[in-house]
Amino acid sequence: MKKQRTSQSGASVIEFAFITFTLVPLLIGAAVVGVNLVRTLQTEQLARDAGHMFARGVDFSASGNQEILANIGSSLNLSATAGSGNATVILSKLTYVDSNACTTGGAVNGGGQPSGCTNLGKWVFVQRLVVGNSAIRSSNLGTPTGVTLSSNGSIAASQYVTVAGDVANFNSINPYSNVSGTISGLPSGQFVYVAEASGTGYSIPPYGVGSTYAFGLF
Amino acid sequence: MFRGAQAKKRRGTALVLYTVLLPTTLLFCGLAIDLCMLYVVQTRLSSAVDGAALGAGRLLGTTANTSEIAGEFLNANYPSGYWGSYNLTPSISVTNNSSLHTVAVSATVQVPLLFLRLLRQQYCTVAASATAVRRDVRVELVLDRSYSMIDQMSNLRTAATTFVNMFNPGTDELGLVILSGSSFVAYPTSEMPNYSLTSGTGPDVHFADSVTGSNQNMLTLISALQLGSDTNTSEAIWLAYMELKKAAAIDSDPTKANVIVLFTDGVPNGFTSYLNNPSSNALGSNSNCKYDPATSSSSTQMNGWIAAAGTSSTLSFFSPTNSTGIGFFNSLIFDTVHSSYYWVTNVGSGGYVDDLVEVTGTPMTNCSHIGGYGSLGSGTDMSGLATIPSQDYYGNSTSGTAYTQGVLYQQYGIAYNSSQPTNGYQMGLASWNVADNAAQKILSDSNMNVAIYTIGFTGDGGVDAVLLNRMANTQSSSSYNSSYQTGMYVEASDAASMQQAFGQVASEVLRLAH
Repeated sequence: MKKQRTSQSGASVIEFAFITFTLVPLLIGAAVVGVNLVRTLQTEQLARDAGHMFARGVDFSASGNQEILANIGSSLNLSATAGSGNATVILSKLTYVDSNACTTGGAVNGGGQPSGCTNLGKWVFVQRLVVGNSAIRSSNLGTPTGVTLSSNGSIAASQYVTVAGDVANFNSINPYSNVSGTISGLPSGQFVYVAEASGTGYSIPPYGVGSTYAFGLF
Repeated sequence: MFRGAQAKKRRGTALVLYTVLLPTTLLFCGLAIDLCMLYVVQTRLSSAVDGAALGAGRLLGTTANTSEIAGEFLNANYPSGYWGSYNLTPSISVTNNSSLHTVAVSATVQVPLLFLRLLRQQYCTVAASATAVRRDVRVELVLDRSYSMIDQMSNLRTAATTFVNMFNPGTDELGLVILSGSSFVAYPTSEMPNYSLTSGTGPDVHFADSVTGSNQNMLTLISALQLGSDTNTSEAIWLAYMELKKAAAIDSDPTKANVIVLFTDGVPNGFTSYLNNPSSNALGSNSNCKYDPATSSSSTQMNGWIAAAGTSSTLSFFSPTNSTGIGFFNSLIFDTVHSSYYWVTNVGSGGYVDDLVEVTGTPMTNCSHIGGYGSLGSGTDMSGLATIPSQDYYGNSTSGTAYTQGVLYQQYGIAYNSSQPTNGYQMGLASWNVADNAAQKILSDSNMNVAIYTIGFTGDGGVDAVLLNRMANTQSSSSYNSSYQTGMYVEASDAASMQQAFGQVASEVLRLAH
């Protein structure tokens, strides 16, 4: 009897150890992946909603609208207070600099032809707004530099047609890349609205991701 | 022995069970993972087609290749190989039915399965679709250039230009009405001379056409807009309404959205009147006018605009006890010299800003005590008026009870009394009433279904938010009527917010059109 008991005990330990070493990591991994999957979906939805509203003209420099956005992103702990929370939304309004844009920006010669319009033929930032904790992630499009952002994040035409730091890194997601020379029938002066959302990922080492990310072009 | 055998049998049972259950567990885990992947891909694809529809939908009705642009937005919104997916197949259709334009975007993508391959299923097809609809719009932009705008004209020109540029020349119809002491239709310029409420084209699609000769477009008119005098809100929105009706009558397209966008920085202080109107005579017996209501005809009508007089930017001329009286002035006269461009750009001098001239000539023969205030601020005799006209030139009533919610009444608390025509406060209440009544009449036109959007600039002494909410029929309006078109009221306090307000309204108008 004594010998039997000892033998049973050992088997249980071995079984427990075996199951633990396979099942527990599986369960933890599933939990982490599941939580991050949910966060990915939440980030997708946040980018979509923010972009939708941004493209419709909602002014996200206004604190009230930032609060609305924070409510939409509350599951990611998006805060309307700059630098706070665990998520960020980066809103960019882009335009393609053509000769009309050069005229608007005053970068033309006496004959009305582009002159000194150094960003001619490039996509540039017209507006940039960041809501939430900007330390979470920077924009894939880059950050406008060397220009002055007004209180609503807009950039003067005279700057966006000339300042090199205002050119957007828009090659990777260029909706008009398949057309050479012209912008595929896009009327002059039109804009592309881009919303990027990112939130802190969930992790239990060794599982987890640093952050979630989603974007939308409207 | 029996217990020993039992114990022996239990040995390794858990391991066996675990081994047996593991494939089942993994299968269900795999099913969950595969379904999650499909859900993630479906969410991304749904967002992508939504972005494509909205991005391309803005360009509906323009010359842009909407189908191609929608496809490019879709490709840009859906990263290649997202979660291993492949074979993104879009289906984009654009239909143009009169003024109604629709872009429908749908797409499918194949997502490889990881675990469900055990069931001989290699992939699953995920689909999403979105539709954007855009109506062409017919917009009358009403810009207040009253004297209190003296420091904001440049900002107004910039913001209004941005507004106009958000619409599509060639499909959207735009017109411009200038709000001042004597409001008038500035664009189309062909409305002048010989302007009448029954002729002309109303707003048109050529508002951004190249300027040739003396033919101005709406943008050049806005860029040249100069300061005016008073705030005749009722006439401005009524002219805008009539312009919309003209255009609607021409193209007979009931699907176009009819919109008035009113920008103002103050409260109404005047309206246009027909003093010796036989049906609503405002003259007193001491006026001695030759052409009294009994004998008046079209050539002897005493038409002009009347307004609370004064020069103060503090609105003291609205004070019931400190009023500086009222004035009676010529409506703008249009001829080959005095075109709409002339009146838009006329800066005036010596009090003659937008023709701030007392009414004289034949209709005023023998009249006494109908003087006006000559030069700005110096009140003279208007005691020939027995009453504030019961209606304006266009038939909109000057009475009502809603004014009690307005800022003037809220400040002074004195009831409207039409028998005090020379009191600036009472004239202010009448002007408030007629603007409100005109707006309600416009909103109630079920054939036109006009939506009114109002922008109030608060930086020049304040606006009447109650009135502007009522005119726009917002849900916060005291007179909100769900059977009317619901508009929007936006406030601005500086150059930046003015720009934003115009942008916000334009987006709302376009949303209405989507």
